[in-house]
Amino acid sequence: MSRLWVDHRAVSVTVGYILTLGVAALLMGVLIAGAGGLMESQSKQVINDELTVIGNQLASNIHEADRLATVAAADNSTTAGESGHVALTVRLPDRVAGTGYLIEIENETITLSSSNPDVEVTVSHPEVQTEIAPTGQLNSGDLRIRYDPENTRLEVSS
Amino acid sequence: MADVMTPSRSERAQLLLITALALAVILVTVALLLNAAIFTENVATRDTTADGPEAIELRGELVSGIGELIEQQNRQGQDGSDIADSVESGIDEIGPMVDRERASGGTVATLSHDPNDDEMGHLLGWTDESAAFDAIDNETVVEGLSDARAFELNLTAMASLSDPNASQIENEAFGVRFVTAGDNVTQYIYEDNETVVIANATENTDPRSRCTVNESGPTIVDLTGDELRTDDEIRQCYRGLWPDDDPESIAFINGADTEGTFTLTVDEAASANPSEDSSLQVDDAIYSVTVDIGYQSRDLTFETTARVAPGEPR
Repeated sequence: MSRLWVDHRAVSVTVGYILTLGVAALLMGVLIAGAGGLMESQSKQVINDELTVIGNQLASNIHEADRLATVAAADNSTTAGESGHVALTVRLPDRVAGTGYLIEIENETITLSSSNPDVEVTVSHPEVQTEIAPTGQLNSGDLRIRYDPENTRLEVSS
Repeated sequence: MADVMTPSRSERAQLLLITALALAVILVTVALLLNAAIFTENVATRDTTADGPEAIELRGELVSGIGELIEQQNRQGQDGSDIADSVESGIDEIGPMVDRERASGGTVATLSHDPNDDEMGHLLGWTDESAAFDAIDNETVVEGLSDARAFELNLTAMASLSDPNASQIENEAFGVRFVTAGDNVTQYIYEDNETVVIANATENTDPRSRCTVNESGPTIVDLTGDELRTDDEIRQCYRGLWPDDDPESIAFINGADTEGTFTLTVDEAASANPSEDSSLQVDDAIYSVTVDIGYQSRDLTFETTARVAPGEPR
């Protein structure tokens, strides 16, 4: 055993190897950590942008359905009927940057949120003539906007 | 101590392998994000709305076209049933034409009409341009009115007053009086220094200028459309010429100096009161029809039941 402490043969090779591995591990660790952080921030940015665009698309479709519902309601008021029918399909992507999202439509706002990473976007839509029925949280993907002539309101469903 | 230099050990390059794998995942993520960003840009600049404007345009076209058809048939002076038949066949011809036209754009348009929903009425017309309106002076032109539309006067001569006061207007200017459940409303029409003036008065207020147009040939006063027209000018009067409350009867006053023609379509229950020697003609007419209009595209279905009564007050 005591011979080992005095025998210095091949030590420099081992130490050199350990140092090389250590420096390489440190470098790669830093690289991965940095790139991972960058990826996460960029993911959030892309999801944020895409949810904003989807929100605006949905807002314009709600506005369009509202205009049609207003016309149908005005016609109903002159014919004393409840026959107006508006059904509009809004084509929206199932996923944004590889993650699903939820949509909630309220009085004057549309809230879109994704959980991984955590991003929430609120888009305002113009005031509508026809009331929008409470939707709760809707799953991502195509939505359907329908006019209910009996209750004179718009219903959005996924 | 481990022999790290021995080439046969299986742990060699594990660190590099794992790092390479991590970098590969990062690169794939970058590609995915880039793709999503490009897609977002694409979607953001794309028109993703359905065909709402086209559907509304179709409804407008059909209502306008059928309105013209009704007015054209009403002017033929036929019996009510003949007019209804002509309108029915006209609408039957319009439907397939619209459908064919829209089919070329990949959409379906439908038009249907139930003659049982037609509302019959009367077309009142004063056709003698040279006869003054005093033939029905201070008389009720029509009473028992529920609905009235397309009330248009085409005046070739009228009282000329220079900067008149209220009593001059009330005593000399030609007036169209709307008797309503609330205050009666009178629209006085006169010429003042080459300007045609419409002054509005109620039972409790003096006449007040509501709308003017420069005199130039005959003046068309569209009372239901709130518009004054001459050969050179069209002047909107913005809900200023038709009373807020629905009129129950309409009378002309001070018509001695006023010449021209007028037309008015009223509902069937209303009774026109032409004097025996007046030029007021009363014919059968269709007051309104009700049509079902449908528009269907890939993303939109729109159906509405529209009542067509051209020239009805807003």
